[in-house]
Order: sequence, then structure tokens, then C-alpha cells
Amino acid sequence: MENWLFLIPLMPLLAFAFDLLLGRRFPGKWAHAPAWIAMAVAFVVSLLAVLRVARTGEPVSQTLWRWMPGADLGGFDIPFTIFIDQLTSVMILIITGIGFLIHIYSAGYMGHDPGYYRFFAYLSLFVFAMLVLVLGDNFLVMFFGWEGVGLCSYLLIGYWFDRRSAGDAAKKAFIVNRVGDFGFLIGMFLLFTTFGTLSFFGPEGIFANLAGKGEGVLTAIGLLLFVGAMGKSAQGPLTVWLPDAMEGPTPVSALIHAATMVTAGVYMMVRAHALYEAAPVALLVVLIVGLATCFIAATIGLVQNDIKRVMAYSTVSQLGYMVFAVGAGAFIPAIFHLMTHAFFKALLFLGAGSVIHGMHEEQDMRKMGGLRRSMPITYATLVAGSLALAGFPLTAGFFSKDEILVGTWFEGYPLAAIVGWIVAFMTAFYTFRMIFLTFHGQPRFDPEHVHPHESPPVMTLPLIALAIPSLLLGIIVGLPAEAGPIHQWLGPVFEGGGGHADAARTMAVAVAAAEEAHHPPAWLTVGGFAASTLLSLAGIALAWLMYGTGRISAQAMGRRFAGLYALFYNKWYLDDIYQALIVAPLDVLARILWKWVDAGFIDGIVNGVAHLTGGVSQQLRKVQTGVVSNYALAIALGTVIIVGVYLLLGPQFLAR
Amino acid sequence: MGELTLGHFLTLSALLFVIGMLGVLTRKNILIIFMSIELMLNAVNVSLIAFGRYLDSIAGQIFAIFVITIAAAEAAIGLGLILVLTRRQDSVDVTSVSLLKE
Repeated sequence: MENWLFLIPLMPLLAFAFDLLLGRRFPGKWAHAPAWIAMAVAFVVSLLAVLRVARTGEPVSQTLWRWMPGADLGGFDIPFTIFIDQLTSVMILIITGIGFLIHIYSAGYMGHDPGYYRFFAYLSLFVFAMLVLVLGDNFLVMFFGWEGVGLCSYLLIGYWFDRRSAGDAAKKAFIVNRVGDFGFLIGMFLLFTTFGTLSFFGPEGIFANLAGKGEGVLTAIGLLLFVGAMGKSAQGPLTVWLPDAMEGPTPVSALIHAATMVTAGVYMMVRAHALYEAAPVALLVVLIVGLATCFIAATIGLVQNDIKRVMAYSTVSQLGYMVFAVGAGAFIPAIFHLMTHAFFKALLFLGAGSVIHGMHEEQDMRKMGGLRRSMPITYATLVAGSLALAGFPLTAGFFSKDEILVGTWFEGYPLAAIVGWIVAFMTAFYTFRMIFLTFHGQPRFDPEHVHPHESPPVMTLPLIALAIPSLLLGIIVGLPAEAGPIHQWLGPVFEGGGGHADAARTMAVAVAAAEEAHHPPAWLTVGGFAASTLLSLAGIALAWLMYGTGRISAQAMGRRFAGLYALFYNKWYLDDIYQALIVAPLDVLARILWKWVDAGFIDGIVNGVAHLTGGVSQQLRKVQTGVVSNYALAIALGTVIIVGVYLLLGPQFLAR
Repeated sequence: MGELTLGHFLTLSALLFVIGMLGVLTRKNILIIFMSIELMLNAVNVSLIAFGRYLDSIAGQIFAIFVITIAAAEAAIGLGLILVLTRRQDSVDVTSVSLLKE
């Protein structure tokens, strides 16, 4: 079994190469075929690997090669190892499973696009990079995948490169991610100088050698790695790229900017949980940034009119939940929410894509309405996803969000949990605001020109396939609360048993084991359930009153809270602040560098050298008379001078 | 009259060489220049043979034979060039050939 693990990342890579090199020559539109096959094979191999992990309880791994094994680089030895434990299992099943469904959906959604093969090539490359990210057993391989997904994100956001806004959004995403990656890189350097290795596990690995290292350096590493996570997972000051990333095709938004890539930061921090537990200050920063992001993004989501933007802000907000769960030390709930969120958010994006497709590329919810009759399947599945996102009782999102909040309270941050519940209320509200605006009420589009229609089965089948786990996954893996199958499954990762045996020495594991020993008290669990239920229902009810029946006028609300409305509508002026503080000064600086330094100074040097050469040549060309006798005279005189110098100075000077 | 020494031969060689060189430098008729070059080559031959005799080595004579051979080849090419030149511009004056100046 171990010998076949390499197929998991290799298959998407092959599909990428195949589509990119040969896709254009395919007869008809068959570029999706290799990508579909690759995803199916990768999913099956992943499933077999996960079953093995489940049977033995031990991680499986395969070392493919070592990077620069012979070079003497001061212990810098990077094995390219595929490593699958319980945590990786969750990730690869999400990536290949949801990835497969989205590949199927894309064949319908992108069917009319001239760059069909290019789209599938990039999408496969993304899956490859994402798999490398989660499968690597050291920080460098993870970073390789980390950069790879960033590249694919850039390529796919800017997929419609003839649209200026898409190109700008792609650049923005890439540059903002660069800031985060810079922090990640420095964090890795610091890790290497501190531990002498980048490997996670084993007796020489980072997590087994945390004891005895200074808390200061661990905090610095934790914060620097978190800067990377902020970039990838769109947290804190680096959120700004994710909403703009919705310029990409909708399947890309679903796969990359909702289900998988943006969770990479959360995955990384959970993977490095031992490190973070040894650096409580870093964890506190993670908690605060995650909570602030969670709240701010939710408030912005309340007032957006673009259906994809609502979901983009909701994604940022939900990622905020995961990040502050990590910050509170509730790692298993964070991964639980990551998993359920991947399903229902992918579903929501694909559903939104189906709406946009059926409405002829219209994304403004103010121009929709009453679509439930013309798109029944999309409506039903989208409601399922919305219920999960809103935390409606017994849906997947309800259990995972509730675990995060109860876990955060239990870990000693009741205030954070209360903010989380407020955000849960807002989430329920804006989610159903979207549903009511889009599917209920009277049509607000021009029925003469727009004929909304249900999407083909190739698009609705993945919706149905995603709707089922969105509704039921919580009941299956989340019950009983705080001790469900997901806890039993992920437990070994945080206990230090099995493949992590060597981590047993660390303080972090002692903390994790103590955590496992006592669960939140019953009153907290029940109270959490009650609060989540009430707030979710209240949010949905308010949305119904405002947008379903119109009993409360949304315009009147907007006027009464004009200041807040402006703040939320303008995204807390974050983009404007960046524009004023970073973009505008850089623009001026670039102009100076261009006009003066480049055009004046550097070009001056280049042109000066050219002029000098030209002038000297003009003089020198007069030497060349064309008369043979003059040349002969020059040769003769030259010979006489050389021989004369030789004779005068004597051979002793010239010999050496 | 004393015995002929190496110095005599070298003096003769130098004189011939200088005469040839002056011819090359001063004359404008390309045929004369050509003949002067032959003179310089033969001046070298004289010194080569003189040194060969002085050092009791056959190498000097071998080199002289080589020089004569090369000179013959050079004469063939050179005369060919002169022939082409006179056909093109009906003159044997080297100063009239200064195309490279342009």
C-alpha cells in the first residue's frame, strides 16, 4: 500500500501536463476527461490509504527521494516524504473528494469557454499542489505546496485575463499572499536555525524537540508562521484579497477560495499544534486576529449585494472561526469546522454558480428574485447549504460551529465565545438574506431578456452530492458533542500515540492529554446547543421579516444606522486604508524610480556609454586610411619599437 | 680580406631586409612592392642559412627551403591579386585602392 501513495499527488500532475500540452488538440471538448480520471484515481488511492490508517491506527508514509542528499549543507536534509495520519486523512479526502465533484461540475459550468483545456490544466495543477501541501512531512515540502497553490490561485483568479478587474484581482491575491509567504519563509529559517531540521516528526523532528527551547523564539516562530497563515487563510490585515478573488470562475471560488486552499493556514497551525501550545502568546494573537476577522467579515457580509461577495465574506468569517478555535487551543473543533465548511461552502459556491449560469452571468442579487420556481434543484440544495452555514440545528455547520464556541469557552475564553455567537446570528441573517433575495419574492429582472433556467445534470448532481453531507455530516461524526467520531479519529494526532510516539516527551502533548481527559461540563454543552439554536433561528427569522415578507423595511434600517451601514458597505475602509497608506506611496515611489532613476540615471549611463563609444570611434576611424603602405609602416614601426624596447630594457625585465 | 664571419652575413641580411622594407613602404607600384617583399624574405633566408652554418645545424637550411616554398605560393596568390586589381581599375597604384576607408 505504501508504495502507491505517490499516485495521490502524481495523478493530478499528469492530468495537468496532459491537458496543458495536448488539451488544445483534443477533438471536441474532452479536456475534462484526464482531469476526471486523475481525480477519481487520487480519491480511491486516498480512500485506501485512509482505510489503512483507520485499520491500524498508525500513520502511513512513503519516502520518494531526499533532496540534495550528498550535499553537505549543515544538516539541511529534506526527505520528500508522503505522510498520511488522521489529520492528513481528513484533508486529502476533502481535497480529492470535493475536488472530484467540482471537476465534474466545471465541465458544465465552463462548457462554453474557449479556454476549457487551460482551465482544467490549472485546476489539476492546483489539486496537485494542495495535496503536496497536506501530504508533506516537513515544512519545506509544505511550503512547496503552499507556493504552488498560491500560483494556481493567481492563474485561476486571472483566468479571464481579458477582463481588467480579473487581472487586478489576481495580482492583488498574489501580492498579498507574498506578504504572508515572506513571514512563513522567515519562520522556516528560524525553525531551521533553532532545531536544525524542518521535519515534523521522528526523534530528530521539530515536535519532539520542543522542550528546552526558549519560549521567546518559539513565539517568534509561531507568529511568523501565523503571518503565512494570515495570507493564505485571509485573516486579519491580509483578508483583502479573498473577496476580490471572486473574479475567478465560480468552480475556482468553490474549490480554492472556499473549500481547500484557504484552509491551508488552519491546517498548518493544527499540524504545528505542539509548537503553538508551547508558545501561548502566539496562540493569543491567533485568537484575537481570528476573532476580529470573524466579526468584521460577518458585518461586511450583511450588506453586500453581489451573491459571490456575500459568500466570500462568509468564507473569511468562517475561516475566522477556525483560526480563533486554533488560538483557543480547540484544534479538533477547528478541523471539524474546516471539514463541514468545505462541504457546505463548496455547495454554496457551486449553487451560486448555478444561479449565475442560469441568469446569464448576473451576480447582483438585487436583479434576481423569485428564482425558486425556475431552478428547483439549485434552490433546494442551496437552502441545504445555507442551513448548514447558518448553523440550523442538526445540520453539519451547527455541530462544528457549536463545538468551536463551546471549546473556546471551555479553554478559558468565554468572551470570545460570546462574540462567536453574535457572529453566528449575523451569519444566519446574511445567509438567508441571500436566499430570500435570490429565490423568493417577485422577479426583479427583465423577463423579456433574461430566461432563468435550471442547470444541466452535470452541474446539479455535484450539488446534490454535496448537499447530503452538508446536512448529515454533523450527525454522523459530531454526535455525541465533544466526543463524537471526529474526536476519536483525530485524537491520536493530539495524544502523541502511534507515529507521534516521540512527541510524547513534549510538554504540549501533556497538555493535549490532559485536555482529552476532561470534557466540557454538561451545562456548557447543552447551553451551547440552546444558544446556537436560538441565535440561528433568530437570524433566519429576521432575514425573513426583512427580505422574505418585507415587514421590516431594509431601506429604513439602512437609513437608521447610516454610519454603520456605510462602514460595513465600504468594508471597514480596509481597501481605502491600504490604498492611501501603501498603494499610493508605492505608486509615487514607482513614478520617481521610473521617471528619474530609471529614465534619467540608468538610461543616462547606458546612453552615455553608447555616445562615448560612438564619439571615440568617429575619431579612431580616421586612422584607417585604406592605404596599404600606411598599414605596412605601422607594422614596421611597431616591430621596431617592440624589438627596441626589448633590446634596451634587456631580457631580464621581460623574462618574468 | 679577412675570413667571412657570421657578422658579415647578418649585415648583408639586415641591409637586404631594410632595402626591401623601404621599398614596401615608399613605392606605390604594387609590382615593385611585391618584389620588395620577395627581397625581405630572401634576406631572412640569408640569415637563416648563416645561422645554420654557424651553429652547425641543418635546421637553418630546412627553414630556408620552407620559406622559398611559401614564397612561391605567396607569389602565385599575390600575382593573381594584382591581375584582378589591374583588371578592375586599370592601375597598379596601391593608394588608389582604399575602399576600406569608407
